[in-house]
Amino acid sequence: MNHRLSILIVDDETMIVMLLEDMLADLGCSVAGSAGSVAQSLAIIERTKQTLDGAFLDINLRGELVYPVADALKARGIPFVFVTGNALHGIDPDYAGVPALSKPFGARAIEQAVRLFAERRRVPATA
Amino acid sequence: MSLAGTGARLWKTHWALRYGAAIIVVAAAAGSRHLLQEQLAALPYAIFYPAILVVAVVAGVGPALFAVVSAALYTHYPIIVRAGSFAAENASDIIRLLGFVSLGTISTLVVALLRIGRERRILTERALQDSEERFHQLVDGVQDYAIFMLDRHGRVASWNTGAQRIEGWSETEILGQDVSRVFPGEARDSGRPLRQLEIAAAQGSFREEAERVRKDGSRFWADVAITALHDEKGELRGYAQVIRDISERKRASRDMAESRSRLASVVESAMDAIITVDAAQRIVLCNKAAVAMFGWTESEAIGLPIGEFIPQRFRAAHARHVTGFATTGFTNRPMGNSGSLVGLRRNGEEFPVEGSISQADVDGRKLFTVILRDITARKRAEEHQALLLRELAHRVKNTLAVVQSIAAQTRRFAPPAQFYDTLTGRLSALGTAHDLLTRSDWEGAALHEVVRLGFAPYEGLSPEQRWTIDGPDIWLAPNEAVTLSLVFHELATNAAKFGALSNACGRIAVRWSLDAGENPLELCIDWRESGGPKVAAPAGGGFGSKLLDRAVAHELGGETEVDYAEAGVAYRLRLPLSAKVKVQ
Repeated sequence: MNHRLSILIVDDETMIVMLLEDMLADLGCSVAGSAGSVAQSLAIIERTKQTLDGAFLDINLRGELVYPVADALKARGIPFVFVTGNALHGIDPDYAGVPALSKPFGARAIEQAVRLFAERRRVPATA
Repeated sequence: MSLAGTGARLWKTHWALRYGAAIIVVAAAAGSRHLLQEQLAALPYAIFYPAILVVAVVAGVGPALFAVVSAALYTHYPIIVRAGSFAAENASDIIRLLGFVSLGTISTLVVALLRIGRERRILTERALQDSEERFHQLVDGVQDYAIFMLDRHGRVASWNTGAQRIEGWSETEILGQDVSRVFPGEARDSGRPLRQLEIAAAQGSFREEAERVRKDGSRFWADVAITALHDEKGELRGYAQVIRDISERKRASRDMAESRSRLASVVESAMDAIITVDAAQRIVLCNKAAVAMFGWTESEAIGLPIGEFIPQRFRAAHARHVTGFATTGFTNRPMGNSGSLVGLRRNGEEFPVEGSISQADVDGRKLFTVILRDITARKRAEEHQALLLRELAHRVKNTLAVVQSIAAQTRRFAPPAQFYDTLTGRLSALGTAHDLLTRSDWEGAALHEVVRLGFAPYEGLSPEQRWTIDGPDIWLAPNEAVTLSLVFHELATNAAKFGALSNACGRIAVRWSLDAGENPLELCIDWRESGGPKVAAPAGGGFGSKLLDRAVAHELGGETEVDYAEAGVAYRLRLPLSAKVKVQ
């Protein structure tokens, strides 16, 4: 990872955002922004789409589902993973191929996700 | 009997004996005639008449006629031998012979007639005797009926075994007693025993089903038939009473009626719909619950095809199922085991039901009874429960992640020696915030309560309360309540460590207000400490200030200002009002 990966965190729980921020900082990533709602997330994506390398998406944002954010990232070719407390029932089958982390999550899981983001970033660079 | 009986039987069955006897008697008479020739010259046959009569009486018609012929031959033998033929001078002899033969025959027949008459009379008398005896035996042998006679005055004149068995009195005890003894006291007092006899006397008979008493005082239900008895002249001679103990039948029919009415009340008061249909699947019975469930009144429902209670698309399959069930021979089974059953209300509404079906043949009629329960509410509750469980799983996992985060933050900022106390303080703040939310079914919590919880660990530390909480009622959604609980826990903890609660006289005023507009847009919360030790801005900032910044900015979309004034630290939180933070 030559330059720091820029990551978006979407979660309505401040404490979890803080945890992810710290874990990502420990992994040498920078946090492009954090959001607790779909609208905030879309605004951040719009603002940072050139530099964004990946995103952690909580699925249920207090009743609001995060899928529009997932669609926006997909449309821009930005990789993302879901972070959910409801791994068994929570994910829409349309997004079955997307990796999902279950809360609470370990540092290794976050590291794997970050590695995934880093690999995906290299693809357009080599092409 | 043996010797005389055998002799009599031989006598009757062997004609030779009887004819032999006839010959002996005739021979004896002939002998006597020979001896008494002088005296009997004028009446040569006279001696034979008694002989013939004796034979007729003792041996019957045949031997007697035989005796007549034998006597005739004997008497006329000399004439026949002497003359060789009948001559004119013998004419008187021939007349005499003919006279003897006819007289002998006539007397034989007379004796026979007399004998027959006597035998017949004996037989009739014996038959009568037999029949009377049998009748007595019959009456006496009857066990199940009390049969007894009363005289004209109602006194017991006869008493059979059945009467003894049913009533308890023996014949000797009851004979001559008044019939009222077998009546219960109140019936006796009201004069019923006599009145019944009067009715029977007037109308010929009387019947009733009524209670009677036994010797031991116990009562039983009796089927009573009284017949008045009259003699040939029409004079009343007494009464015959036939009584049957029908207590068992009465009890059975009462039990039946009772069980029927009990069953009816069970059916009527059942919470489940109970519907009975006939072989043509038309409704013949439906209870109150069925009326309430399907919306048809009972009178409307009776006669309707059961299909009216089932959505159109299921009707054919249902009819097939019932017909199929009829051929199984099972008396009952649950319905809809292949999936949930759907009922149709009169207003067209469909609803889930579960039920069972049973069948019975009643007087050759096939009846099916279904018991149905409307499980709309249960289904809804089940769905709600499933939702709650998913929600719970989600919340538990989310909370674990929050705990993980708190632990990570604590490790990051707190000195190792204080790690455990700090962590448990924060977890307990999280716990009390959850308690607060549980009380409102996770609808949310009042800001006032959230702030108060932050101070809860310090209540009672000094005699007077050193903080004030003041502001309009604000309602916080669950996440905001949890986050602000953690924020106020941190502020109060800091105050206790370094600020206004760290000495004996510092004070904290927490006050909030809304902006002055018609529709307020912003909530402004002030935390102002005073009277504490002098404060300086902390060097690196701790978890408290980080949480404050992040929570207010990230989660609540607000801003934080901190003023480390010399008089005491002051925080100002500006929060936009929203559905999650609103005026109550």
